[in-house]
Formats: sequence, structure tokens, C-alpha cells
Amino acid sequence: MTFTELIKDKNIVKGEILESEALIVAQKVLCNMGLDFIPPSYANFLKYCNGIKYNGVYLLGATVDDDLDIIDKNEQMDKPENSILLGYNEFDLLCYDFKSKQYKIIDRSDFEVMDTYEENEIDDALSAIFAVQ
Amino acid sequence: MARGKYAKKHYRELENNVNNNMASPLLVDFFDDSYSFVDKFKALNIDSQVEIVRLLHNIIKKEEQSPSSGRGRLYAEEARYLLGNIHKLTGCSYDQNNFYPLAKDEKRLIRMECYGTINRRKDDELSFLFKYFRKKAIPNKFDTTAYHLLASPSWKVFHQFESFRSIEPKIRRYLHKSGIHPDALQVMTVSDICEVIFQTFKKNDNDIVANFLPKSESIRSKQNKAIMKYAGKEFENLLMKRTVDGEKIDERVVKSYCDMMRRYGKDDINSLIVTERYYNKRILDNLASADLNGSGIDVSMLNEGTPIAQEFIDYLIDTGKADLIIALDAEGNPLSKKGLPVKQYHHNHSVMLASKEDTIAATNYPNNGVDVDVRIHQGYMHLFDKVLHLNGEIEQIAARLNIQNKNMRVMLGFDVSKDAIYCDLENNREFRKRKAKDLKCKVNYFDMMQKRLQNEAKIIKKHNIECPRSYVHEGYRCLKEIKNTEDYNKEAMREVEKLLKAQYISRKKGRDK
Repeated sequence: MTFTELIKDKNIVKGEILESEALIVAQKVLCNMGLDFIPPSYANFLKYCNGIKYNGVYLLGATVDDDLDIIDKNEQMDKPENSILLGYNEFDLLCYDFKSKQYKIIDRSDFEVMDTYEENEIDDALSAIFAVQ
Repeated sequence: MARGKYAKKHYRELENNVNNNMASPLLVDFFDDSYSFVDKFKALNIDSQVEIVRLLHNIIKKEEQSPSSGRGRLYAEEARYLLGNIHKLTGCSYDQNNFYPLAKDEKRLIRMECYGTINRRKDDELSFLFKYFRKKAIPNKFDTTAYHLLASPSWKVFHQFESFRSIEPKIRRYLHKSGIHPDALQVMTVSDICEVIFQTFKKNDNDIVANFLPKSESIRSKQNKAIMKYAGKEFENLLMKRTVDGEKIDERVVKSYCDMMRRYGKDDINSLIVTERYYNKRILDNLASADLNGSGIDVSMLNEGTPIAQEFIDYLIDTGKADLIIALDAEGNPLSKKGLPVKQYHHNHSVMLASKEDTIAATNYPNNGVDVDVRIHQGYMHLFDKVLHLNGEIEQIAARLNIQNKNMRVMLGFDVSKDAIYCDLENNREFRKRKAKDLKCKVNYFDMMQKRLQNEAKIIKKHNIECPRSYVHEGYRCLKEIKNTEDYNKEAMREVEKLLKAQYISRKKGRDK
């Protein structure tokens, strides 16, 4: 089961449909902030679902919704170096480490890496952060 | 081409490039008159309050990173004073010391218990011994009673939690069905057991996550139900007082939200169905033409203006007929849910660091959980977490903001004298029983890890298993990790070291040949 199938029946709040311009803006601003591009697999996911809010889980997107805006959250929230914040739940952050090209589930309090996923394992990474029933 | 909304939002910010903390008019005002700070702060909305906290925190951080003796230091001192006032308002204070770091496995278990879900483990996270026994398994070969879960040091780490104790029979049945040798239990790692739990509870072969607890049994659901049971009225009143754009939230929205928390333990606004509370003509017409067999309601006896019985509302929601009594505004549109709180579950005493006297299960105890407005949770509660790192390892906690009143269950604003709900969820017999059992099941993670390594030495010998090179490396890594803890038992680890050395030499000889 892919992550998109997993969330299909859930009553999630999604960001507005992704405009290609919004994705370009997000990439540009993130790079200006000294970060990197949104990884291609996550950008693909944004085409299906431009950010998610569900029961304490947030997956970020290029959306005007302030709670889900990838730029705002990368600016506001603490995260480890060399990584883009892509989402979070009560315990952990979902980050993309652009040096190692891996998704990482990182403890919010001490930044300990709890789990690591390769770029093609995005479904596992997303479902790990989306740990709610 | 006209710019889209998102582009407009961020290009404006880029063009303005306003990133000077002191440029915030709000903050300048506070610095000018810090005596009336608390009153002014209280009058702001949460978003502005969080912004103030962030700006104050940044001033201090900046000063700490590059100390100055001039204006910067004065600003930092003032910012510390103002933040101190905010902490007083929220009833929070820095907790320091008396903490010790938890192992990653322990942290993982706390999370799993909290959500009641378990994720598929990747193959490279499983031990080679587990994979060996899984490969050799013959379905139904061993009786269920052959699987003594408590013979597994790793299971003992799980056994500390009530939720995991409750699934033991199912785990045994799965092991019996899969036919994994019972000896495997002695050497399985926490990750291996996670895999067994996942396999036990997954619904389909291609699932990536499985629920090992019913939804209604997850910590969050239980907490929501308990809050409604012990402080439901207070919570409802708190919501009734909230305003959005100067207007109070509609009573029907509040009541429906509280019902959802009370009945299902859910607080997810998206799935909230807002229903009318009194019969009106539209509803009576709807009901008259609907099939309500089984509801026990005689529609002809209902009158406009009388309250809809709670049992009837519950019946209609449960049978998927809530549309019949859905609440509408004056224009005939569904009511807005704006103003309802979006909360996150906050562990007051940190998930990663628990008191050494407590069991790790205590992290998920009801009085350790506080439902906090999401903006406060991320913009305030976790802003002050500080951990000292030494050589990449967590050395000790430096500071953490903790709520001092252990009975606080809900925090929807900064002023906890009016924005919080208090109740003691541990003052009951059921909880006391659970706590007593948890204490009996308490184990030291590193002791268990050493026991498992000792078992590995025995089992490898007993089953005459040849270890791959990765095992020797992993074994030495584990040993090194344990040696760094105060729980290291040199005597007990002698056999393990001998085994690793023997394996290393035998592999080296094989390679040299």
C-alpha cells in the first residue's frame, strides 16, 4: 500500500492544488535560505497532496495555508543542519538531508535520527511521520 | 501573467527583506514599557503572542552566540525578563538535571504506544539471527505455549508498557503460526519484535503501517475521553468563551465537538459533524421522510423547539444518517468550525528524558499528557529545549520548559488562569493498579541488551550458526555502546567478547585461506 492509498479514506485537510509556479517559488526561497531544492519524490507527492493537516500531523507544501507553508515552517522551526523540514508530528520531524540525499525521522527535542529512508522510500518515510491511526 | 497567491506571499517577503528583530513595532512597544508588558501581552491574539516569544528568544540566542557588552546585552537582559514573565503566565519553568537519556529503542516504544501503530521495519534493520530463524521456520511446528515471551530480553523492554502486555497472546499465536523457533525469542532485537508485531497486526501484505491497538485504545483517544469524563463541562465552557473575529463559536459547534471527544475520543476537526441541538421544521421534514426503523423514535410525537435527545443524535451519527439533523447557518450553509482549537499532545516530562526512578511507561501516563494549542506547542513549549551534545552523543539535558501543575490537561492559550483545564486523571484504582504492574515490569534497557548479547553467544553455539561479518561488527558496536554506560557488566560480557573474537578469527582464517 502506498502512502497516498493509506490516507485516501482519512478526513485530512489538504493545501490548495499545487501550482507549478508555487513549487518554483518554494524551491527558490528555500535555496535563498541556504537550504536546497525540495527532493523530486516529495515534489511529486505535493502534486497529489500539497500539504496535509491531520490529527497533530503536518506535511508541508507550497501552499498559502500558514500552518502548512514549507517556507514559513523552515524559517520558524528548529531543525538539524543541511536539512529541509518537510513535516512533523508531536514527537518527530520529517526532514530531507540534502547532503546524504535521505529522508530522516528526527526527534524534535534532541535531533536524534530515529529512522533513515532513501529517496525512493518516501512512502515509508511519510507513513512513519504520519503515525496516527 | 499575474502572480499566484503563494508567489505573492513570498515575493513580498523577499522584497521587503525585513528581518530585523527590533524592527517589530510590537516589540519596540514592549521594550519601551516593560512594566505593563503582561497586560499588553495578554491582550494580543495567540499568533502575535507566539511571534513575541520568538522574537524575544531570538534576541537572547543572538546575544548568547556573539556576546556583546553594549546594547545587545541590555536587550538580551530585558528579553530574558520579559520571557520570565511569560513563563509565569503559562505556569512553566525550566527543568534541569535529574534526567537521563533514553535509548533510541525506548523512545520508539513510547511513540508506538502513544499512537497504537507500528511501522514496517526495513530488512536491514532486522538482526541476522532473526532472519536466520525466520528462514528456517516451519509453520505450526511449535505449540503456542513454547513461546515464553519473557525469555526474551527485548520483549521485556516492551513488557513495561500496558499496551504491549495486552497483545501478548496475539504475538504468541503469530509466532506459533509462523513456526519461528522459540529460541529466537532469546536473541531477537527490539526491531525484530517490532517486525513480529507488524506482521501480527497488518491487514494486507503490502501494508506499511499496522494498528496494534484499536483506535479507541490509543493514548490520545483515551486521554480525550478521560478529559471529557472528568472535566467535560469546564472544557465546554472554555470553548464557549473563545472568540473568532470577535464572535463566539456557535454553541452547536462546541457541543458537537465535545460529543465527538466524549464518545469517540477524537478531536479531529475535519471529521466533526455539527448537528442541530433542537428540532426545527427542516429537521422534522427530513425525519418524516427518512427510514428510521430501529431508532425507537416516533417522528409524529416530535415538536419544533424541543431538544434532540443525545441518544438520537448518537444513533443518527452511528448509522450514517447525521445529514438529517446537520446544523446550518441562516443562509443554509454548514456551520463554520473556525475557532475550534487545533491541539497537539504534549508530553510534559520529556519523551526522550525520563526520571531514572520512573518506568519509561510513565511517559505516556495520563497526567503527563497535556493537549496544547498547536501554535503554542511548536512556538513556545519546544522553543526552549536544550540538549548538550558531546562527541555527537547526548550528554545531558541543559534546559526544558515544563508545565509545573501536573493536573493541567488542556492549554489553549498563554494565560493558564483562564485558558487551561485541570484535572487529575491518575487518582483512580484502575490507574494505581496499572502503575503497580508497570513498576513490577520495570527493566533496565542496557541490562537487557547485555542479556541478549549473552544469549546470542549461547544460541549461536547451540544451533551451530555461522555469523556473517556484519554480525561481528554489529556485536562490537553494541559492546562499545554498553561500555559507555554505567550499566556495563564486564563479567557478563566476557563470553560475548570471546564469541566475537572467535568469530572474527574464524572469518579472518577463512579469508586468509
